[in-house]
Amino acid sequence: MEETDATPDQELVERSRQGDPTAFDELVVRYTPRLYGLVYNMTSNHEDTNDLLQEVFAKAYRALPGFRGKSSFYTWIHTIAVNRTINFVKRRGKRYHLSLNDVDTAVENDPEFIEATASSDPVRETNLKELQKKLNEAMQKLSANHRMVVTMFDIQGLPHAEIAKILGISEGTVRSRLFYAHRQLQNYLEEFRRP
Amino acid sequence: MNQEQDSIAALLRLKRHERPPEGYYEDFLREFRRRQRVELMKPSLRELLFERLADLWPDFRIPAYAYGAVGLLAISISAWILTSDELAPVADSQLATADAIRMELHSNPPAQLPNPVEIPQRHMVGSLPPHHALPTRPATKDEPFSF
Repeated sequence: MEETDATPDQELVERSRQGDPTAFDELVVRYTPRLYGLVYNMTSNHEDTNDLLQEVFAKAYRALPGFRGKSSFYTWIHTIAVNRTINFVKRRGKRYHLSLNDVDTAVENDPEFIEATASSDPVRETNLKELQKKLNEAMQKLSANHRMVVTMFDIQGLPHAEIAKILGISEGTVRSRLFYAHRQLQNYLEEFRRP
Repeated sequence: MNQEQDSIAALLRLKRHERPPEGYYEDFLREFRRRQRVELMKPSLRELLFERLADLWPDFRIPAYAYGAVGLLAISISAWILTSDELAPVADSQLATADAIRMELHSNPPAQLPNPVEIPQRHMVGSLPPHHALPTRPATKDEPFSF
C-alpha cells in the first residue's frame, strides 16, 4: 500500500523470513501509525492500544513463515489487527475505561472543525476535550463490527472495497453496517447535529 | 438524511486529530524489540520441566532401548487381548449340561424324528450344539407353496 519510493513490503517480508531483524523493524515502523489509529479508535484507550499493537506485531512475526503472499502484507497485518481487536473489545464488554490521547492543536485550522463550530451552537459552546469525550463515548456504544467499519471508513478513510477485503465480507455488508452505525450515532450525538 | 449523515461523518473525522504522546512511535519499536528478546529468553514449560529433572538427577537420561521395550510391551498386550477374546472360557456347569444332552441323544434317539438332524462336529463350540441347529423340523400348518 505504502510502497512509493520505499522498499516494497514483499522484499522486507522476504528479508525478515531470512532472519534479517532490521527488515521487520522497518515493517513495524511503516505500519504502526495506521494500525495505531485502527486499534485506538476501537478501544478509546491508549494503554490497551499499545498492548494490542505489540501483540499484533509479535503474532505477525511468528506467523511470517506461513505468510504465502496471497494477499498483500498490508491486508494480512490489518486482518490480524482487526481480529485481535474485535476479540479484545468483545471480551472487555462494557467495562471500558476511556484513556484518550490529546487532540492535535492543528484541529483548530481544520476546515471540518471550522465548519462544525460555525454551523452548530453546541459544538461551538462545547470545549474540544468535551467534544472528544462525547465522540468516543458514542463510538463505544456501537457494536464491535459497526465500530470497526466506522473507524476504517470515516476516520481512516479506507474505501469500501479495501474494508471488505480486510474484514472478509462483501461491500454491500460494509455499506449496510455503515448505514446502521451512522443512524445510531445520529441518535447518540443528537445535540451536535447541524440544524 | 444525507445531510445528517454528512454531519456525523464530519464529526467523526475530527477524531483523526487525536494523537499519541510525542515520541510514542520510536518508543514502540524499542518496546517491541525488548519484548521479542524476552520471548526468546523465555523457555517453554516442557523445557523447564526437563531442566528441573536434570537438576534433580544430573545423570538422568532416557536410554535408547527403553523406547524399544515400551513398544514391545504394547505389542504383547495387544496380542494377548486379541487372543483372549477367541478363547473365552466356558462355564463348567454349561459343559456338564451339554455333555448330558449329547449322551441322551446318542443312547436314546427320539422316535418322533423322521430325519434326525446330524450336527457336524466342526459346528460344535466346546460341547454345546450350535444355535442354528434345530432338534426337529419346524412344524407348520400352512399350505405348501405351489407355483
